[in-house]
Amino acid sequence: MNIHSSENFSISRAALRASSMGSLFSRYPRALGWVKRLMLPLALEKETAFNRHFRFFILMAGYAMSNTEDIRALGVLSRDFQDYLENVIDETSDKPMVWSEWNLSNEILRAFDVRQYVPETFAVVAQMAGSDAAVDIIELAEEEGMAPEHCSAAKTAVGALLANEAPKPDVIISSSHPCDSVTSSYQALQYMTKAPMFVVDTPYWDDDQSFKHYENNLWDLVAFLETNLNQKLDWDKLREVCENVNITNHYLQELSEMSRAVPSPTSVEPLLLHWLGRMAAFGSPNGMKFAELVHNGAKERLKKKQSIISEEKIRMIWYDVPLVFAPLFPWLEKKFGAVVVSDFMGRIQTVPIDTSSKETMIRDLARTHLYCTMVRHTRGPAEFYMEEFQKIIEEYSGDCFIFMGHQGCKGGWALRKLFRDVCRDARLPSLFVSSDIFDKRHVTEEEVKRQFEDFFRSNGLA
Amino acid sequence: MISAGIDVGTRFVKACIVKDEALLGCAIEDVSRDIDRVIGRVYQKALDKAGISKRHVKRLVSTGYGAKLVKGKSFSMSCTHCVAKAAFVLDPEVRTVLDCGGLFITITSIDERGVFERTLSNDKCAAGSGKFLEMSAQAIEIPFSSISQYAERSKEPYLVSSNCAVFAESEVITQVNYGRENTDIIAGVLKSIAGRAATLFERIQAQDKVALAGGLATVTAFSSMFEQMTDRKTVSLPIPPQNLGAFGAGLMAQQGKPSRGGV
Amino acid sequence: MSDILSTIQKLAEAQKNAYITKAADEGKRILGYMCSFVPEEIIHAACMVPFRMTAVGSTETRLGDTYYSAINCSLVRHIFDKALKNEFSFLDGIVFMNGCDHSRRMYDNWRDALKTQGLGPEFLYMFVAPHTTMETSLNRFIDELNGFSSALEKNFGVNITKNALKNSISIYNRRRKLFRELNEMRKQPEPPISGAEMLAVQLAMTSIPVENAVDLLEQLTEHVHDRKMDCKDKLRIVVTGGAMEEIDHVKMIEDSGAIVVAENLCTGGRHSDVSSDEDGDPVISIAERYLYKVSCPRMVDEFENRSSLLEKTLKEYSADALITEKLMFCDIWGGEVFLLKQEAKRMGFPLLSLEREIYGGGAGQMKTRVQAFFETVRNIQ
Repeated sequence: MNIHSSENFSISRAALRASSMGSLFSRYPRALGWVKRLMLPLALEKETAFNRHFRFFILMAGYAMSNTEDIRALGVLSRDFQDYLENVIDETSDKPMVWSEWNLSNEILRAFDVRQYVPETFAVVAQMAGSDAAVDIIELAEEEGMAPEHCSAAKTAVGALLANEAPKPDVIISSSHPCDSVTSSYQALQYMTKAPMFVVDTPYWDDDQSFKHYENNLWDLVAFLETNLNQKLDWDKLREVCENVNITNHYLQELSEMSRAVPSPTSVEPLLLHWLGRMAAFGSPNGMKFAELVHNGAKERLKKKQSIISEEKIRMIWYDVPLVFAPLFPWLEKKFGAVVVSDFMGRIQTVPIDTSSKETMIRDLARTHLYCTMVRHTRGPAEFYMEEFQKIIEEYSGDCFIFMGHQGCKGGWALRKLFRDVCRDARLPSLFVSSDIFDKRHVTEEEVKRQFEDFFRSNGLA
Repeated sequence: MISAGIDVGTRFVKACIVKDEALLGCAIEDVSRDIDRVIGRVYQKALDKAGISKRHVKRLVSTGYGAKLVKGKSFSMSCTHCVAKAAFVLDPEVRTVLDCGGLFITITSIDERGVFERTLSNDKCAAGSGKFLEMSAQAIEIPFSSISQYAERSKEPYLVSSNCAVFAESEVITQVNYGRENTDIIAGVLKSIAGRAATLFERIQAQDKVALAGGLATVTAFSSMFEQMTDRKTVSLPIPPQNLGAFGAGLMAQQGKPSRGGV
Repeated sequence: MSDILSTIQKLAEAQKNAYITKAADEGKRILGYMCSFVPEEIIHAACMVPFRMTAVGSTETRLGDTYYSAINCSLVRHIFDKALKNEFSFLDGIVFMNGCDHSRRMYDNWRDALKTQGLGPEFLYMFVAPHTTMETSLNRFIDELNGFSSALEKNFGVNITKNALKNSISIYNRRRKLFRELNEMRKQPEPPISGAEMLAVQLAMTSIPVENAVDLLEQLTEHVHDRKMDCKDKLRIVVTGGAMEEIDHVKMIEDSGAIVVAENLCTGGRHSDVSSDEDGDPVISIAERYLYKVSCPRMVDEFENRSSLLEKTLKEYSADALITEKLMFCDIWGGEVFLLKQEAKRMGFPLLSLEREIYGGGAGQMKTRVQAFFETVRNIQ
């Protein structure tokens, strides 16, 4: 196989520069606020040669997150992200390198003395170097023979390895959720790297037997890691991480609930940022701080009955994240006063971890893994989506539903009719947009924006 | 409120002046090289017919293939949304609109609130379109307005096999040279276009009532062929089918806040 | 074509057959399934007939498309289209399986169609198989098998005894042994049966009661015993991929100058000749057969086994080349084909990867590719 001989991490280094700027400014939130305000108009409309390198980074934070608390939160999160990237590209370290799949929560790894790399993260990292960079990486994987229909995150993971953007793994851990692309692409990653791999088998149902099966899998995972890393799991450290996770989840779960208020004091952006930053900050003190800050900011606004943007006009419920079109959220907020009040990605719905013993920790970690975004919905029957969707419709006073379906997500697309029917019964206007989270070749930003305009106008929302 | 809708299609420019849900006046003209002037002229004609002066028009919305070319618009929208809106306002029982224009055949389903639900369109090719019919009629020297009369006289419509307008045109010419009756040729062309429309109709699982829009809807032989193929009746709407897009755009302009000055 | 082969061919191409009708008339219940992980023995031990659902006879996906999107698998869309046209109304129940993201969603869509359009049958069951082969997974799988048995017992008022299970294993093993014998004969320089015929055999045998299958296979073995295909100047090909039921497609490959000597397909070759252990606890031996002895790319920790099995097959069947067959939008086979391409380079065997939609046409273009590939293979030789 044609793997380049020397590691170079050029794209990761570019992302690292952007993120260290973020973390530098985080000490001066006012300054970061100004930078954001100044840069936003340059980034909002479309990608150009000029804004290519900062557009994604600026717009990820959204148009909405602009008060001091939110800006500080952004800075705190970028500190962890910076650490994550530094660790990834540190070729001199003698700590073992573990690759861990995106949706497999990595709290357990934090209780080992290891470095971590989340292969799918590179799809986000690459966006920071401009949307073409991600496409180049995906094309590299496709040229090597990866199936075009694979999820673009999976293709980017393989492409990153081919482009020497991935560190050499000592161990790989993965799972059989959330989709066939993942189960398939990790076989490819294992084949290419020859590293020992452990795959957690994800249950279909939500019953005790299923949770128990996953719990057994986690015990197997611990044993696998202890053997292959030649280390013992530090249970005190795991307890600390789990306690942080509990607090983080508490804040974010409340944040998810706060957007039931009209106008919504928050939007999907902080939740999505946390979701994106989880590989670097889930269970870390900074991750916890981020959650606390965005939570407090939103709580302030809730008290004052303030919207997160200047004037909320449309309340949207979303299905999937338009990552490569991260600029969509700021654009929708600014142009239409449209705020995402609930979605299936950022929304946190989980249980606390009982840290009283090793057994309770593993038992509850199993549950939190299965309640995690995507895993919670994709692994089982349609009810896992629909029941939560119906609850969201009842509670969040949404004006419309946006199904921005990702090309890689065949299981989601197979439920199109069921989603449509729920919307119809609830008399909720719905827009179905075919898109790709990381690959802009599929549909252009302009076309997607046009569909939004038409949809809002013909439903009398704008 | 008075609003205007301009539909810049691939063959014609159409303009409608709308008050609330009523059509005050409309106009239509061929697309030609100096498109800005054509748009201006059609707009003015529609205003004249409506007896309205430009400054009373609070909002203008453009639609169609060349929607971007219209100056001074509040916004532009896809034709499918506009046609759906227009058909529903004219007859609230309409659930499906088949729009057969110069270059595209689009079928749109409408929900019970009158909002565009879903659309399907022919492949991006003129073989199933008004332009193809026009080209064929020209090749066999039949005036566009008499197509139906000729087609109705055909005993054995010729089966057009080409999927591409360019090849189909040469196929038609070949048939002329073989001495095939021009009635059979024009009926065959109509049949092939109606066939494409019927396929889209099947695919979208069209619900009643069905309305026809676009220039082809003015050709009676086409609509009867389509009705025969799908075994369904179409409803006739009170305004010329070609103007549905522009009327819908005018209706869309009624929604939302009016702009300050006239347009 | 001989009587027995043409009988089999007709069975493979029929939506519903006389054997199934007869079994139903005799009071047997028919249970539909789609994935080779669904344990036929357990269904049989409950006095029912497992019936593999196919897209045979389907010409469109118009109704299927009301549920599925254009990026979903064509096989699944065809099968569901047939379902919505009531073409599976003779089934008393359906066992779905988490084989892939497309097919497992049929469990959801079928239940919706049952609720909104009254689409029967009412017994719709989701059978869940693990994706790994660890001991934890085996234990979970044993529980799943027991749960499945109880569901059948409860819903249909039957009793699945250990003895019945043992008998079922034994009759299924007879069918599997007959397949093994046929495959053994295909290793000869002049195989007695073509790949297209063999696909028909495999399709037919999963659409009729196993007792009839054993009977027909015995007749077939007898019939082809001294048969020799004309193999002059023909390449020996192994076909691997997901579901395939287009006999004409294999025929096209063979007509281009080859004979298909072995296959690894969902609809046949991968599992049809793999027996369960007849000693010991029947549920455990069923679990071990499905989880350990048959490997599909949906299993994430077994590529090495699959690869060495492929290497062995290529060698034992003296194959000249491998053709991979993938349906569009299949992630699982997309990944497997990627790995097989790497293995082809490593082991040095010629590989052609084809992609198609089920009954999707494009035969001309496909034939050109196959012919060009065969020419390359001949040039290498």
